[in-house]
This record gives sequence, C-alpha cells and structure tokens, in this order.
Amino acid sequence: MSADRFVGELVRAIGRERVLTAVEDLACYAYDATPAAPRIYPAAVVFPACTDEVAAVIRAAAAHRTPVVARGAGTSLSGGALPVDGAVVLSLAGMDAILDLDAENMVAVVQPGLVVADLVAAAERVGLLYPPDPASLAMATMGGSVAECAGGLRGLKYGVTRDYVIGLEVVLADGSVARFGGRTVKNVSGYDMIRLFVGSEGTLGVVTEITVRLVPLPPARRTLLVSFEALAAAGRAVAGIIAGKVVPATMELMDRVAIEVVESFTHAGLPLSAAAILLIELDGLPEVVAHEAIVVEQVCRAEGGAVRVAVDDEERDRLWAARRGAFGALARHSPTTIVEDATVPRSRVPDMIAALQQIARRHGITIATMGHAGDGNLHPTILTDERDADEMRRVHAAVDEVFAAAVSLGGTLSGEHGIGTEKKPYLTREFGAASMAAMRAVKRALDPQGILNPGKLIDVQTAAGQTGAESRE
Amino acid sequence: MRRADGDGIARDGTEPRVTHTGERRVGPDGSWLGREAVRRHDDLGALREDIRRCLRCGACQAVCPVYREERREESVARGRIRLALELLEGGLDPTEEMVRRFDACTSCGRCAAECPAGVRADEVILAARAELVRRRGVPWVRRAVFSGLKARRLFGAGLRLAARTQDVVLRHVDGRPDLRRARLPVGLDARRVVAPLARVPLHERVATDRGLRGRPDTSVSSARLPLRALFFPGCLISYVYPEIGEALVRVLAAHGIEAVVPAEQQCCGLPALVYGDVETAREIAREQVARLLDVPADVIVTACATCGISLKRTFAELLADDRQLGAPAAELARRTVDVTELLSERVEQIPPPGRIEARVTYHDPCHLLRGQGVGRQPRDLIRAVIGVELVEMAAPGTCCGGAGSFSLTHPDLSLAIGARKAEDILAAGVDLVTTDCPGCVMQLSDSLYRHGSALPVLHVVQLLDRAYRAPDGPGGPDEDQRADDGAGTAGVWRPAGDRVA
Repeated sequence: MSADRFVGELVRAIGRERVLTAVEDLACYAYDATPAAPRIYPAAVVFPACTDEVAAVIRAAAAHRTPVVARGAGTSLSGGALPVDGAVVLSLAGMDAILDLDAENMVAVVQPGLVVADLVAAAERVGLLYPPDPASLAMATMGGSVAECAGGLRGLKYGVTRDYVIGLEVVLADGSVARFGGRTVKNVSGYDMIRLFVGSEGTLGVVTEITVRLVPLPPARRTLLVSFEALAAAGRAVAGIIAGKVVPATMELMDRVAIEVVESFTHAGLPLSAAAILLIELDGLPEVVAHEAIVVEQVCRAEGGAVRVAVDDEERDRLWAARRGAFGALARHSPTTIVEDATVPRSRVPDMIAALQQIARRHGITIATMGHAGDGNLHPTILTDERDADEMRRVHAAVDEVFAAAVSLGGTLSGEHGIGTEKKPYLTREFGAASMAAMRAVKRALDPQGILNPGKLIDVQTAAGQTGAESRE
Repeated sequence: MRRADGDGIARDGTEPRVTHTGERRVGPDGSWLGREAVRRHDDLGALREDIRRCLRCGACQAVCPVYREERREESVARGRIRLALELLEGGLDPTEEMVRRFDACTSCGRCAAECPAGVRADEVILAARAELVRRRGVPWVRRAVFSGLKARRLFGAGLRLAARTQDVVLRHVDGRPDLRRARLPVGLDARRVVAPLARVPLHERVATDRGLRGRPDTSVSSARLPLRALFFPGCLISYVYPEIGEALVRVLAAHGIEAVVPAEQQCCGLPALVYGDVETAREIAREQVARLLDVPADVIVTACATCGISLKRTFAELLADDRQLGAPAAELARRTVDVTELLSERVEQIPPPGRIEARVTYHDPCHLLRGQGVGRQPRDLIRAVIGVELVEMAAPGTCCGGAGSFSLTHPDLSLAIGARKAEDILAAGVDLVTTDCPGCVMQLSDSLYRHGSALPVLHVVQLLDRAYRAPDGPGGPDEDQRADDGAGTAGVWRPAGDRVA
C-alpha cells in the first residue's frame, strides 16, 4: 500500500522514534485550539530535528502527493494546525533552539519550535524586548507566530509579528530550501518574500529558521484603569489619547458583559457599574511615561472616566492578571467559548461594539467583548454550548453578521487569529475577484500539487484536481 | 498569560497563590471535589464535564514538566484529556498503548492549577488510569507489588530482610555513605542513586530510645506530654529516612507534644491508587482509618506530602459510600495536618534557640503545595531559625521528577526533570536545600549528586531539630551520620555544603 510505503520512507528519513502512527498518538494531533472543530486523525506525525529532515519529509510527501500540516504548539484558533484527511503532521516543537542572540545588532536567530515566552525571557536578560505578545505566548511557538502573524496586546505601539521578522529559511513544497532576508534592517534585494510567508498559515512553505529584530527594553512602565459610564465615552477617550500624541503600549477594552463575567470569577475589583473599562499601559523613559500619564488622565477625565493609577508593581500585576485571566473566566462561564477576531479602524471601535451588542440582542445570544482598543482589534467572545443545536444555528448567523459589520466599517475578518478553515468562507467578502485570483496564483506557483496545509486560508483548484479539505459552513 | 513564575508560587515565594484548585483541595471533609466527583475513582464519566470543558488552549504545555522534556502532545494534559474523551465515548479502545500514554505523568497537578478553564486534568488522568484497570485488569507485576502493600506484617518483615541483604544488590557510591546504586537488576535503573534502607526502622528506634520521648502505640510511655500527636510516618520515613521521623519526634517534644508512632507501618495506598488499582487502595484505606482512629491522639501528623493527601482527602473519598467508615474517614481527614501546619502556629511561642548560619532554599513538594495548599508554613518555620537566610530558587513549585514509582518506571524522564530542578537549586547559591517530603528528599539527593554536588538535602523538621537542639537540649547526635554532616549538638551550625555562588 502506498500509505505504508510513505510511512516507511518517513521512518528511513528521520528514524522510527520520531514517526508516530499509533492511533493513540494520532488522536492527540486531531485538534488545535479551534473550538467545535471536527476530529480528523492524521496518517502520521513526524518530529524532524533539522532543516534537512524537514526537507526530506516534504520530498517524501511531494512524491506521494500527501498533505503536510506544519504544527508548533497547536494553539491556533482558526484551524490553522488542524490536520486534514490523510495528512502527515510535521511537528516543529522539537526544533526549539535560539541559534544566536546578537545584542549588538539587536537581532535573534531562532528555530521555529522555540516558545515565544522563551525568546522574550532571553531577550530581557540582555536588556532587549521581542514585542509581539499573543495571549498564548507562554506556549505558542515562533514558527506558529510567523505562520499566523501573531499580534497581541502591544500591537498599537509595537506592531505585530511581521514588523519584526527580517529573515526566513523556508522549505518549499518540492523539498528545496530557500532563504530570504537576513540580519540587516534594510534589505530591498528581490521581492519581499518575508511579508508573503509571514501569515501564510503554512500554505506556501515550512519555516525552519527565523531572524527577528529586537528593540530596547523600556525602562519604565505605568498602568491605569479607567472606568466609563458609557461605551461611547470610552471610544472617544481612545481617540482623544491618540490625538494627544500619546501612543500607549496597550489599551485594552472590556464591555459590560465581559466585566460582569470576569469579575464574578476573578473578584479582581473591576467596577461592576461601568459600561466599559480601559486598561492602559504606558512604557518608555520615566520622564516620558510621567508626562504621558498626565495626558491620558486629563483626556479620560474629560470624557467622564474614573481613573485609577496602579501605585506599585503589585497593583499593576493584579490588574494585568485580571486582564489575562479574562478569557479563562469567560471560558468557565459556559461550555463552549468562541473567540472572534474582527478588526476595524481605531475610530470605528465604538460603532463596532454597538453593532456587536445589537447582533447579540437580535439572535438572543451572549457576546462579551474584550479587545485591543488601540489597534481596533476586538475579540467578541460568544458564550454558548455546542451541544445546543438551536443556539449554535443562531451563533453561526450572528458570526456571519459580525464579519459583515467589520468589513462594512472598513475593517477585516481577522486581526491576528488567521483565516484557517474557520473564516475561509468569508474571505471573498473582504476581497474582490481580482484579489482572490492573485492570491490563488501565488498559492499555485509555490505549491502546484496543493500539498501544503490544503483547505486552509484559500481553496485552490490544483493540477491534481483536488481542493483540499471540504470547506465547512 | 505569561509563564515566568507560573508555578503557583509568588515570585518572592512567601505566599503560595491560592488557585481555584488549591482552595478546593484544602477542604478537609473529603467532599472538596463535590459529592459527584468523589465518584471519579470508580467512574471516569464522573469527570465528563471537566473533559468537555477543556478548551484545548494548550496552557498546560507551559507548565507540564513532562511536556517540557518531550514536546509531544500525548505527553501533556490536553492530549490525555482527548484520550480520556475517546475512551469515554468509545472512539478508542483501552489498549496497552493507551495505558502507556496515561502512565507518563508525575501527577504534579500544575496543569490543573494553571488551567484557565478550571479543568482538573490531574484527576482526569488518575480516573482514566482507574478506568483502564477496570477494563484491562492490573498488570501482574503491579498486582504483586500492590498485594505486598496490603499485607502489613509481610511488608514490614520483607523490608527488614531487605535492609539486611541490600548490600547484595546495592553498591556504595564513592565518598557518599548516604547513597547507593543498583548493582543487580532489581527493578532499579542502575543509573539511579538512592538512599539505602535503614537498618532499624523508625518505630523500633522510637520504642528503644527514651531520649526521643515519643512512643510506639504498643508500648506504655512515661513521657506524657500535654498534647498527643499520632505521627503517620509513611513507608519512606519508616524504612529509608527514620532520621526524619526522629527529628520530628524531638521537635514536637520541644513544643510539649508527645508523638505516638504506629508499631506497624503500612503503606498509605497512594501508589496503588495512582496506577488505577482503586480496590487495593480502598482496602488499605479501610484498614488505615480503623487503625489510626483507634489510637487516642489530639491530632494526626504527616511529614510526607503524599501520605498527607491520603489521610486528608483520599481515604475519605474512597470510603465516602462506606456506611461504617465513611464518617470516621472524614473525621481522620479533619484531624490530619502536615507537621509544618502544626508547628508554624506554635513557633512564635517556643522559638528554636539554636543558631544556624546558612543560606537555605525550599523546594515545594507538588502534593503539599498544590495538593494541600501548604507553602507558607514551611517557609515561616525556616525563617524562624536564627541565622538562616531563606533564598528562593527560580521555580520552587515545579515538580522535582521524583513522583514516587514514576522515578523507577520512567527513569529517563525522571532524571531529565530532576536535572532542571538541580540547576535551579544550584543557581540559588545556597548552603542547603530543604523540602517537606521524603520522596522529594530522595529525588533531590540523586539529582544533585548527578550534578556533582554534595549539597545537603534536609526535611524541614531536620533543620528545625538542629535549631531546637541547643547545647543542653534533649537528644544527642544522630545515631548514624546519614544526611548529617557534623551538626552535632552545637548551638551554632555551619553546614559544610558546596555553596555555588
């Protein structure tokens, strides 16, 4: 049988120890963090230890026209790391070394399996910062971050993963190894392939080495908690702070539903009477932070906000622990938690939240909204139960309207979670026919057989006539 | 969600963060999990809601000591919860492969303590092991071992025989009279370094040494003190580290507490329970509850984190439906305390007079910190010793990899986890390391030895014992010098450790 021959080739390429085929193991790779996803077992899971082994696996997969799904920590929320039928899951979790931490050039060269928090910690030890901080940074890998272009709380001031990647080594669909970019901040040699691969969700190649730039660790930080009696006032405060020429590192918003659920679980002392709260962190030189704090306080007070400044590290940690624990609190509230990722221009955040509240009322479901107000990236979180078929129908209808609202406000389907299988059906809504055709052309050019994470991000009719996994709606 | 210090301990190590699970676990009446979940020992389905609530977010990856070594999904709670779900729904069969996936876990409980969705993953794993045993039976090797645990007299006699004959199978380690390694295949990986069995077990020492002022429950003691504590030493303190038990007896005496030591020691049953043999564990629980409550005492004291869980919680859960013993088991749970809980309330009244010039770090046993919510008390006691500076290591609440028989069944993993712990300890630059569990003492000694370090590893009560043994105090030098490097009875002790700056 061809499948057996394929597994035999994998074993010869990287050794029996690092090829899993027992059904008990395959079951543990039939998921990522995507809620209510189908259970599809891969045919095998492999753990290559170096670029050559990754290339050998992909060559074998190409010869057998077998789909390859690259996987880091499997924390994707949009189905990016979900296996497709018959696929080989290529786990990069074991390739987790920091190859070079070059403080002089403020650059780090890492392997894709490195956990983001480990890079952050290593950079901090030499007084540097790797800014992208997805909520999953304690377990998410650098490879996964690159594949999904992970964002995080600091997006407003520091940008996202694509703003830090300056060099990549990629194994292409035929098993050849390509390198793009390098260690220099300036580099205009050739097409900007790095921007193409960052956020490509494993559909164009498998990243085996990443070079990122680092920034100086800000010496001072200050955290403020502001509560508002009206959501619109919080929105105006966000706009006012930016208009005041202050760019906070983070500006987190929570609506009334989120405040209530989070407070009921964490008892962190969040103001239950508030319609919305903003949790703001300023960082930089102490003098600058002190000045910016005054501006932020003035703007928020003018909008009727009640400001509480964290007096010490302990209070600061407590406030951020409440924010970080928010998702867990929401998760405990109901059996199924679906986090969406709709993102709008900063100025439309109040409109988007109002639209979300209307959608929730219209469909009789609960939506708690948190989000990175500074960069317009909202996380409307639907609290539901996947076993309730009737409610799930209403949830799906509501999700449709959430995406429609985001796009109509000039926004996008996904700020940082990716398209994967979950949002693929909505992609044409955001892009016209010409844009979709261009993206398909790129996919066909780099992966003519359609073996790299097929069925994710975009469906392509390949030469082999396959479209990858069926799309789910 | 950052990981940094996510081991359930605040950075300064002073106060264990009370996690949702920690709070529940302190409940002393055996119903801390709720009546429904007590059934989990007999029915995996009792944890169905926990299994369903898993978000698959992967937060357990950041804290799991086994995942840290293996980086494989089947080595972490998220994968095992999925296997439990498949087992429950009939999607997968209870195969030998399945058993192996559930076995490679130290039961340290970090996954449950840090789970954003509050899934009790550690309990799911234990319940799945029990389910597999119900459907597959107990493997014969384990059946033989567990039946030995049940037979109290045989167990004691066997260990005594083993103590006399151990030199046949264990050879000395150069320069370390306190350590041995296997020379014959006796189920002990030849790389492991262990403490030998004691020539005279604890209860016999207590019976014959008046200076200890404790007594076995079969003898009559003249040394009546105002308060009476029944000390449950557990197998390791009875047969491997009796000096920990002796230290405990002396320290309690300094506080006017008489320690009674059961004449016949029997296993607490947890080794059987963690490998899914619920029926053996229940049989042991029945016998222990009846025997322990038979001894008149004001309080029941443990100094082993794992035994503590058994007495404080597991017996009561296993016997919840037992008409005769259900209520007594809950009573036993209510009256049991870890020795550091008992002493930390009293240390201010009778502070230790001796002085110990040392930088000391403390390793939190998983079954004490997360299992019983005890982390502040041992630290308070260490700080109460004049001259001692408590220095926190990087991640004091991270598992040391010992985990009882896990160290024998998974030697490679256990050694790898222990190596990281040894690095954290050595990086703290201390003169000695303390902990509150004999199982951890054994693992830490082995791990440090492997790193070429002779840093002394003491139970907290041994540190206290030295501080209470002022020049004219009770008790003389230790009978044998194991884990004892010249402390003697001097008022000031300067341990001769190999401090690493």
